[in-house]
Amino acid sequence: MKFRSEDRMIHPPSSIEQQSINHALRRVTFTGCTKYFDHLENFFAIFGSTIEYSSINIDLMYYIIDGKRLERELLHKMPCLSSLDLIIHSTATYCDPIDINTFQSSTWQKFNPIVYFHDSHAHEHTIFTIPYKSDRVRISFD
Amino acid sequence: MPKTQLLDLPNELFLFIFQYIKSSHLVQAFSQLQSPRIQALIQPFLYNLDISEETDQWIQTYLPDLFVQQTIIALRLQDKHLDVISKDLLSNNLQSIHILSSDWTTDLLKEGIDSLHQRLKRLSITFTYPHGKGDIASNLFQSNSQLEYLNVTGRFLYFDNHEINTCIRLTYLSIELEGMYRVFMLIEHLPNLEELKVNKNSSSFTFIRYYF
Repeated sequence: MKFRSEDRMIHPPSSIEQQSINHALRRVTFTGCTKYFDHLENFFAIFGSTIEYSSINIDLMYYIIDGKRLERELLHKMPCLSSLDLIIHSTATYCDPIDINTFQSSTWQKFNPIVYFHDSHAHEHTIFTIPYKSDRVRISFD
Repeated sequence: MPKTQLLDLPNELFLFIFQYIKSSHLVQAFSQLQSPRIQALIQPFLYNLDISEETDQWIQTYLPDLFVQQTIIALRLQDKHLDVISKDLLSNNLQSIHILSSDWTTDLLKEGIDSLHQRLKRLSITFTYPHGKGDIASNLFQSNSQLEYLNVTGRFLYFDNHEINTCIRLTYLSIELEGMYRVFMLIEHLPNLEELKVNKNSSSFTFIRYYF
């Protein structure tokens, strides 16, 4: 039986966790919508060691993540990373705004600058690197 | 003063004109013309041939001879025409195919993939009807596959670990999956994969607008 739900995946298969897999991954792109950022974190924890370019363009449902967590769970898992394109958009009603200072570490300074938008009325939070390589974010000055 | 005939035009004018004509229309207009000069001139414009909008009658009329007379490196077509070309491909230089699949079922597609995966380097599949089956992974990931590039869009693929095999040649994969579970399975079977693009649940993807 094949489950057709993202909910099935809580952790990677145990066989993968327990053994190191030979892989040659250098460029990785994730797009789309997810409830589980920890699934992406699992991916980079296991396969991040060889990745040089990463692009993450996702809708993250119900919560937001700050620079410290991204640094710890993504950047530190990709020691060869030289280019990062990031767009994380969240609609999270009960979340406080994240602290932009969490993106001011020496690790983050190796990559493109980060912009953080918080629309308190719409409960929307968006983190993205500039120049952003997507037409998803549109900003109007009226 | 004698009238100028089409074949009186110099080569450079033909090359200029051919840039503005669809490859399949070039076939229709010129492929049966008994002129070695014209056949040589249209050849570069048929390396990438798009027949995805052509009728069954067009396919039956032009395609068999075309594979004999011309060198086609990349081909774009509908899945229902795969069975017409697969037997001709065995003696052809075709390296890349882009298949448009508009059917709910994947039976034709699976047969086509089975006959192609041992000789093609690049395969793209675009599902134009998103709500059908996504059960082609066992056909795509076979141990004797020669594919180096694989791009599947428009439909999620569903498979279990035992349904896919190790493909050592694949270096590029772009795929749509529901959740990350199958990403881990795939990488376990793709030891030389260098570039991976995963699209998850993009149907709920929204544009982000901020007004000031």
